[in-house]
Amino acid sequence: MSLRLDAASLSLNGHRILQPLTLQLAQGEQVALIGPSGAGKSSLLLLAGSGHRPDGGNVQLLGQDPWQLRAPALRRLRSRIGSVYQHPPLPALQRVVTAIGAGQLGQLSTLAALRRLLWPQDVAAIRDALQRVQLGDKLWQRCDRLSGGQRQRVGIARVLYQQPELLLADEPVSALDPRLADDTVALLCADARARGATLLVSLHSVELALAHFPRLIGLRDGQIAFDLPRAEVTPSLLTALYAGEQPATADEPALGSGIRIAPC
Amino acid sequence: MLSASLHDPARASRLAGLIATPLLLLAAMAYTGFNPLLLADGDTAGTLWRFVADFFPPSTDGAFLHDLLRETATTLAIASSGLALAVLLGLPLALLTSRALERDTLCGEAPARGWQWLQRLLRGVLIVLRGVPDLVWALLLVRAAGLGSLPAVLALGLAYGGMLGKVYAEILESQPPQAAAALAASGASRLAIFGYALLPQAATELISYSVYRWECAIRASAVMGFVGAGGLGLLLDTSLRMLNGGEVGSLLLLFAALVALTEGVSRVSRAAIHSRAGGAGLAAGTLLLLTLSLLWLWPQWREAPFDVAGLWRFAQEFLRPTLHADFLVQVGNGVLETLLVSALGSALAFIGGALLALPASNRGPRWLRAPVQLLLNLLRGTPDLLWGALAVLALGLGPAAGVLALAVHTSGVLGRLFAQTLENTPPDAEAALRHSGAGRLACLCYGLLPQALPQWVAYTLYRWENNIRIAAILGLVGAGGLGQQLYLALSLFQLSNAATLILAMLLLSWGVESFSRWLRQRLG
Repeated sequence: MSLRLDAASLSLNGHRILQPLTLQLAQGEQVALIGPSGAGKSSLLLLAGSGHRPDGGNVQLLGQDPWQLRAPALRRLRSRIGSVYQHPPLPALQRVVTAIGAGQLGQLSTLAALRRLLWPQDVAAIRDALQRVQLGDKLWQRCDRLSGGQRQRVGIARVLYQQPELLLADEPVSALDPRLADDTVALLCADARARGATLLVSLHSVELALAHFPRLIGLRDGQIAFDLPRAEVTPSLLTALYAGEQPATADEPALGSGIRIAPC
Repeated sequence: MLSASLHDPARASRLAGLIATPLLLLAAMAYTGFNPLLLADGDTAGTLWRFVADFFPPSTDGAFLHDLLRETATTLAIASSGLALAVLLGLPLALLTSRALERDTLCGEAPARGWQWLQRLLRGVLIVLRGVPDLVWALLLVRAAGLGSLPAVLALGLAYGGMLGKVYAEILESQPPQAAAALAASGASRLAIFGYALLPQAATELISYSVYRWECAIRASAVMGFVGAGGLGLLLDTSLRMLNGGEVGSLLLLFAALVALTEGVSRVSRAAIHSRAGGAGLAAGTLLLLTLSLLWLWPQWREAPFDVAGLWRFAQEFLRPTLHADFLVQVGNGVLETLLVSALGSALAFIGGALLALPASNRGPRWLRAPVQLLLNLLRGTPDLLWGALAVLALGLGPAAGVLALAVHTSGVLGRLFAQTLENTPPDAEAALRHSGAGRLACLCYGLLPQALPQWVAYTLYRWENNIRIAAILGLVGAGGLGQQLYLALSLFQLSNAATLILAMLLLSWGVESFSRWLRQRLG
């Protein structure tokens, strides 16, 4: 099992964010996580990326419980897990080549990491990763000169360069136009498939989730509403999942439209 | 598809930077004779340690404590009334010169020629006021007004007036201009634009900067006594000359306490600005403090009548600066020495500040936090001139002592500012790296520092502008540079030489200020 939650729950600042969840992802599996805003998708991904410690139950990542490990072993485990963020936290003045190179910090010794900071290393591989997200010309650009969509793709290039065994992505294409979003999700799937890596992606576009992922997990109010193969996800399940949602805000325009689309 | 070259387009400039930075530092070290290894030397460390060991136990002698109390009150009174004078001087000058109140930029009116010339003149006055270090103002005024607290108040008023005038103007210029532009378009006067549009926006920032300057004024007035201008510095100078470690120890403790006190007051008043009652309380407190200060100082001033005619005669002497070639070469050397001392001191303080900021902002072992914060307070709270005196003791007379003093004091100042920056930096970049398995140092260098560095560099450059003035006066305690020559010239009553030296200080301070502003704009 690449990812395994056993009645894992999460509270932050006294608020219950995730009810006890049980969930398993086999190695090489590709799963989409959908659900209304505030359902706990990002928190679930943080739990799966050892970003939060569960306050109940158990989390197993790549066969290990991260919270039982000593610091060096935890570092090694984390270097095998890659995360893509909706707003990739890239320092403004850092250059793209450094930001992507940081993807392999978990594999590098401290000395090698510092050397890379002074003088770019492994530039060819970094440029390859960047070319796969169609930003090959931005290699030497400063991160604050990128648009929101470009930053998102640099975040994806970082994880492509990291080559993790468990890939977690939180709304990785929210700032991209529909065509590019489709290409990029396809790219994540293809990359994971080629390396036999496990992929868990949260998406606000149901359309994308249905188009690219064989298995969908619906999350609502911190609980799993359904966990089904694509063929069994019916329009009524989706309507129930998003029922009572506010009309789509500017930030998440696809929510409303997602429900109306008939699944294939 | 577009694709970048595999060669770093910035490699030439990066390589140049990587090579030039250490070379420049080494060159500056060679010129100033500052060798960090000297500090590790047994003899130096021994001398310094014996002197520092003398600080304990601090003196609790009754007569001394009585003096201490009296001079502390005088120091506080000097700082408060000096700052009041500075505000009275700086605010009108800021209102007259700030580009934020200019009708031509606000609503496109053609500027009047005469007005522009007047503004240029006033800006020049501001540069002169702040370009001459406060201690040099005191040194000059002591000749005119005699020993005591009056020259100290005047010196603070003049030097800080120039500083406040510039910073107030810049604060006004950094405000969003829409409200001011709307008023200007409807024909409002300069003062009306300030009162109705800019003051409401900028009031908290103006007040909080003034309070911060009050903190600085207390530190500055604590050393005014070194040149005979009253306050704690007088005691410190005597105790240092008599090598009375216990008394120096008491004074150091007092300085640390004063810094802690002013910081507390400063924090409370900055919080108070935001509420109506707090604002009223702040105004009342300021008024009370000012009244008490003047009441305390008045008896001293009555005894020492101000000799206006003497000041005039003195000023006339200054209108004939020495311009002999030999002397100019000597001054040139002093300028270079002062410049290098300030630059090297600031650069070393950047490193020191960075190293101290990490544990002070909880990026190191948890138990280290409190002691490092205490150390920062001590480094910062001890006046720069006292660090100069101590450094001279450790390294001997000369610019090396100046470098050490600046590096140590500025490390304390920058360490605190750097720690603040770190605490305000969003943690998510670092967290993302940690969650992908990066080590602590790597997280720091890839996630945190790139975000903090621009702010750190800006702080260091600001501080360098300040340090050039400090470097110019460290010579008064024997730490090289222009100050040493000035002290000599004034002691020998070579007033025209002194005039040249002060002119050189002015040019140097103006030059560094302009260079630093240019650098900050390029980096920003």
